[in-house]
Amino acid sequence: MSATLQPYLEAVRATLQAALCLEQFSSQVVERHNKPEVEVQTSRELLMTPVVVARNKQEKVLIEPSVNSVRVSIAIKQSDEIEKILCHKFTRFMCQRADNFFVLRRKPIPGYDISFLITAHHTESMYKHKLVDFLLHFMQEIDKEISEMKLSLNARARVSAEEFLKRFN
Amino acid sequence: MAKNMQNTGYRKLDVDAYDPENYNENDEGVDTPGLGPDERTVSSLMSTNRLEDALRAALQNPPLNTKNQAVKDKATQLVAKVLGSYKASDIEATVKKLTDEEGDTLMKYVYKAMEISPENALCQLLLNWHAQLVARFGLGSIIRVMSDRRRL
Amino acid sequence: MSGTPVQHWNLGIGPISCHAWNKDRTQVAVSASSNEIHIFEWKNGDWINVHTLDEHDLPVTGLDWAPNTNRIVSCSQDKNAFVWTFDRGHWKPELVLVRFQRAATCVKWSPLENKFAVGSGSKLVSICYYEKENDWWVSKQIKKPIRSTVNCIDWHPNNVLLAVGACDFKTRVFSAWIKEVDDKPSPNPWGSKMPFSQLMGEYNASGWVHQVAFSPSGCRLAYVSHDSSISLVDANQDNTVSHTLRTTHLPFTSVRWLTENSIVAAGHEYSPILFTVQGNGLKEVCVLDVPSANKTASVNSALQMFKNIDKNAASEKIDVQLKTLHQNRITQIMPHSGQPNNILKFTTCGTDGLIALWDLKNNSAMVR
Repeated sequence: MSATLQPYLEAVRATLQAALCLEQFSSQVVERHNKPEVEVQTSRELLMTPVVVARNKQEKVLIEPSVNSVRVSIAIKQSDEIEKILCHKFTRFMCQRADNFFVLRRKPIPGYDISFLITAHHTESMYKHKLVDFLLHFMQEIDKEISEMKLSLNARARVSAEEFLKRFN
Repeated sequence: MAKNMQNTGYRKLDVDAYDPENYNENDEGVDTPGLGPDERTVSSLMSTNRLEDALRAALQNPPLNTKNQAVKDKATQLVAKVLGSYKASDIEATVKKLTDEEGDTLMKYVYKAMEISPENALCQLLLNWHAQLVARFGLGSIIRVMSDRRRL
Repeated sequence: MSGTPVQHWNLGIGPISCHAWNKDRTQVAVSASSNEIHIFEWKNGDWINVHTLDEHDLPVTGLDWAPNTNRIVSCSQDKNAFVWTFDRGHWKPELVLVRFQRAATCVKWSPLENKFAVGSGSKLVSICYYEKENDWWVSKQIKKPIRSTVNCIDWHPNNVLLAVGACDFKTRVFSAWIKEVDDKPSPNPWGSKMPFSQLMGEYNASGWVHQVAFSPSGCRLAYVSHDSSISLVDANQDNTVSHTLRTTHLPFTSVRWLTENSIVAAGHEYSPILFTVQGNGLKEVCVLDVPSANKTASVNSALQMFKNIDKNAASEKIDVQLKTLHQNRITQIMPHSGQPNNILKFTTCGTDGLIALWDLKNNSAMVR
């Protein structure tokens, strides 16, 4: 399991390091604006080729770089219905509090579970390598988090089922 | 109600797209019929187990300039087939022999292959190729995949 | 700073987007990512903020200090450019009629300091000169065939030719001959007829062109683009071909000639890298930033460890610093001492708020 995780994370790390070469860029379409070009999508020449790093059909990362911003979208492994629900609830919880996470996007890109938007402001005020570390840490933790939640959910369901069935003894 | 309120479709028209001053990707380079690699040569080389020659043949004439996505996908699948038949231990030695041009092209294929056919076993090998390519050609090769307009 | 081989200062104003030196290198004008320009003076072994110029109202994108006429020109995302003249202890701004609809991105005085060029996001370059009759800086514009935001400009030493790099993956050489202020230019390897806005050369790149630079003689042109490559055009050989060197590094955002044959480039890689002209193309020589010993040294005594804990108010030693001197993107390289065709020291500024002074004496064997 972890033997295949490592090359995946390393590939994501290398791709992020390359993608996060950002600089301040003032809009050439709307005057006095400075907006993430990957979101406004008004000038084709300022967007770079989006790339996908995939581990399998379920787990992949979409990285869309542009001149002043990068959008990173992560698809999280969901093997059954419970994991799907848990994942949905968890990412929704995060997205609603996106302001507190600075780099989190309020809405994931279709086809992915959670998206980050990193702009030149972020790379100026934070260490770039730490930002990359954070994203990788997040990818590792979210799997763990969801499987833990699944375990505790099952445990709780078992306890309540036991309590419920005691009556019929 | 005024008559001209009926048709409001013109409001949705993207007038900026018609600005002659705008950058237009399609102006760049002529749309040459990108042939893609020669499939027969590649498969005959593969059947005689000359993987390195097969890879080299598969990296010839990448269909970068064509607009036909099907041709590009076909070429990607062919390259992926070659990459997927490698043993993990042979990858490093092969990557060492690639030229800069071939390395950049292969990197494009690796990313594209991960996008269009994310099968579990193939991805493991592709990630292995990716790691070896980064070790040999640095982050510069990833940057070139992203910044190059001649996409796969 | 005696322990480290490269002198550097943190000016404490946050990310530095550009800097410019005065003639005798005692003052430096810097802009943080804000609308203010700070002028620092070297006094008693430290940089003191002596002036703050705040006429712009959006972040300043370009600065240049004309050494002989002692004027500063600045441009900003607010579409304006100002010429600042020093008069009785104050810097006085003069608005320039650049006629932009979008942000100004870069600015540079011509070698004779009688005009300057400003690049902008409205896909054009303004060549500005002083009109005596009206007491006003006016401009002429080069528009065609630039298709995207202009990222960088550089003047040819003959005061006429201008290299322009833009986001449309092209580097171009234009004539910026203004009949009001210039003498008739003499023919050179780039061409013989030079009416205003004549396109003298056009070269492809496969990424946004981040910086262009003419060599000291003006016969060679180097540019760096976002595909981590550095390219060379040698007009003495053929002024229509560019030779591109792909590197394994992250993209460079600035480039400067040190001698007629050697170039230094820096950018997202955090360390300046030397290149030399070899044959037709370029060759990578070395990375200039050699990690200093004291940064890599581990915590070697218990006392030191406790001191660190005390100083950083942290329970353990967390080392988030990179081993390079610059901790973020290098935004600009400026010459510091030496002749234009033999630069001995240069300075870099970066998004990490540092200005570093690199002495090439230590590396002179490698440069020549």
